[in-house]
Amino acid sequence: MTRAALLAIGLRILRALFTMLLCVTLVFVVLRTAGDPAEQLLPAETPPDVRETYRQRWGLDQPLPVQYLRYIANLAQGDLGTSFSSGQPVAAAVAETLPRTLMLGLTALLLATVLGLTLGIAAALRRGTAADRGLMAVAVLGYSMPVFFLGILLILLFALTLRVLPSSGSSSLRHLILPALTLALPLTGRVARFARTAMLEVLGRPFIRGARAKGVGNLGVILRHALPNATVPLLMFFGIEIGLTLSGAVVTETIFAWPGLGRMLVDSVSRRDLPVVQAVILLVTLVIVLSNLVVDILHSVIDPKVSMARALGGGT
Amino acid sequence: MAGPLQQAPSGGADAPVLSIRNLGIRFSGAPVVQDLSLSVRRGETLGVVGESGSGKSVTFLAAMRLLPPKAVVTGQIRLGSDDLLAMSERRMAGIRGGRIGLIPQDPGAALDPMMRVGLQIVQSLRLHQGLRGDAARAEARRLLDQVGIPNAAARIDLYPFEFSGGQKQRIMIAMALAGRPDLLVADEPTTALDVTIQAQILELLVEIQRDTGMAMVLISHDLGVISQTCQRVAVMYAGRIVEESTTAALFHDPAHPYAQGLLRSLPELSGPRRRLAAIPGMVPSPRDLPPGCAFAPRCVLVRPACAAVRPELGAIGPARRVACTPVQDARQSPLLPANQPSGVPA
Ligand SMILES: Nc1ncnc2c1ncn2[C@@H]1O[C@H](COP(=O)(O)OP(=O)(O)OP(=O)(O)O)[C@@H](O)[C@H]1O
Ligand SMILES: [Mg+2]
Repeated sequence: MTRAALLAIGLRILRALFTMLLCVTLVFVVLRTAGDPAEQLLPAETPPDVRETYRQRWGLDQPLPVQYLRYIANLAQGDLGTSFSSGQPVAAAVAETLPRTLMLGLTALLLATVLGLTLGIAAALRRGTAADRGLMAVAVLGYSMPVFFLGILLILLFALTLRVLPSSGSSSLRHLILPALTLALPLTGRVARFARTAMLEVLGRPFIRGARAKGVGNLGVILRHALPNATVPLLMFFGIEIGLTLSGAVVTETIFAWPGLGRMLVDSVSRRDLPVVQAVILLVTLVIVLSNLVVDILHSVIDPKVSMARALGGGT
Repeated sequence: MAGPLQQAPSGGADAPVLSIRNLGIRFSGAPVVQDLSLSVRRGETLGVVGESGSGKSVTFLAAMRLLPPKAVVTGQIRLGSDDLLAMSERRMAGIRGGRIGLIPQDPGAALDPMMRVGLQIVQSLRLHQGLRGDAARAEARRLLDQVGIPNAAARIDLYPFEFSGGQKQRIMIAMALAGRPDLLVADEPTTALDVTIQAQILELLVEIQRDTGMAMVLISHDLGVISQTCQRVAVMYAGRIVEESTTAALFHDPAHPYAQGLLRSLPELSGPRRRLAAIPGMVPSPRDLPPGCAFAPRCVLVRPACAAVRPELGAIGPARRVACTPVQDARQSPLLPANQPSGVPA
């Protein structure tokens, strides 16, 4: 890699860090101005002096800027704070839940990618046929169904009627199946639709006919020419979808009592456990920013035009 | 120029490389090419001229079976003794880029933007010459050299966007030549280029043709280009050939009123080239072709009968056919059999 390319990537990382800081600050401000946690968390009959002790312990008696600076300083040292409700360090709790959410999210993402790409490409190659229309109708149905509705439907079918899969918990891999499906099916629909559109767009470009005019066979045209040219738009699409998948995970985890970040977020918000809320949002932001960073870097690796601009010192 | 034909055991040295008979092409009902017959021999260059939309490109795309599936193609197209419209898709893929090379209209867009140009040529060499690895690479470099890409060895691994329009055109030519075609179809290979480059590219094509003896079809709007390169010319109008003749005869004495109009619109030899648009009126769309002669509404020789009866392509001289009743009446020699395609041996 050239120096210019490294510099461009460095700039991107800086920008990602800046985005993180912005999100963290925004969340901090919004949470602090939305009411006093001491009011919500402690029983109504708590005497005022006890209430004051807690405020001091949680640092809520300090002026907002001081709280903020202290929070950022701790963050910089990897300290996510202490949970208001459990008194345990947030970092430990998060370290326990994050892998579960990643497992759920990545399973769904993998499933949706493989299934969605296959179906979308198959539909594009059969454009206008009954199979194409059928596939796309199912895809639209898949992603226009609300996640909670789909989740309940799957529970009704597989857990209550057929009794083949557990509907809640996380003690075995079988517990993963229903929540992963719930998360994956709408995404599969979106991937299939997007892949179909992207493929059709590429297949309509003149260089496809150019390749066929050289004698490249149908399979070769798809694998060597159409797919590589469709990867850039697909990559961009996934950059966006990863965020959406995470937000879908919040709902899914709640439905299936999957003890991941999503459920942790819902619980901590309702308890106004500010350090936990902040930590979860920080992690979610981190995942999104990181995946966009990876998408960005991959883009510049795949697309000769972009990497060329880089090498020339561009860096879009 | 003379040499044994590689295939076509049924024909002699003079048998056509490509022969098209009664070709018809329809797009959702609209006839864009009708009853078209032509042939090209080894070592020969056939020019195809005609206004935009007259069916020049689709005719030869049909010969390569590269039209979209919705196109309905009828008639017969033979390459040597092989029936192109009847053969399996597999065999046809082997012929594309092999025995028939195509330099498509807008060659810049015909290169895969995500693939290094060297690899795109190697792809052809692999498919049609069985070359692999270093041998294929060396041959790709030789081809790039041959078409005049400066510093080919260093540029073989660049992407298409790193070349100029004229260079991309040369790369397309290299790619079309990689398969050592019997027939090269060059669809407006010089339209987007400035006059100097245009002349260089044409010279290159003619030179390669001289070396290999391949047959060539040169599609162009530009009569100047045609006159410099082609032995015979087919003039197309609204999906039909309206005049077919040797280049000399056509330029000396155009027979069809449309061909006359085209030649009159030709700028001075020294002047700037421009597109052919000097005949008043518009080409009818394939959707509403008149029942008679499609050129009648713009024709200076028009008679009442022209609008009702479509003229057949008939001989008016040796190797010369024209589809115009007034012209046929005036010139047709009773000694020549009518309706015999001059390029196709009966
Ligand atoms: N894929 C297609 N679908 C529908 N109609 C088409 C298609 N391709 C070509 N046509 C029609 O066929 C007719 C002939 O087109 P063609 O491209 O052969 O013209 P051309 O003589 O090559 O013109 P130009 O000089 O502009 O290249 C036109 O009326 C065009 O609209
Ligand atoms: Mg054309």
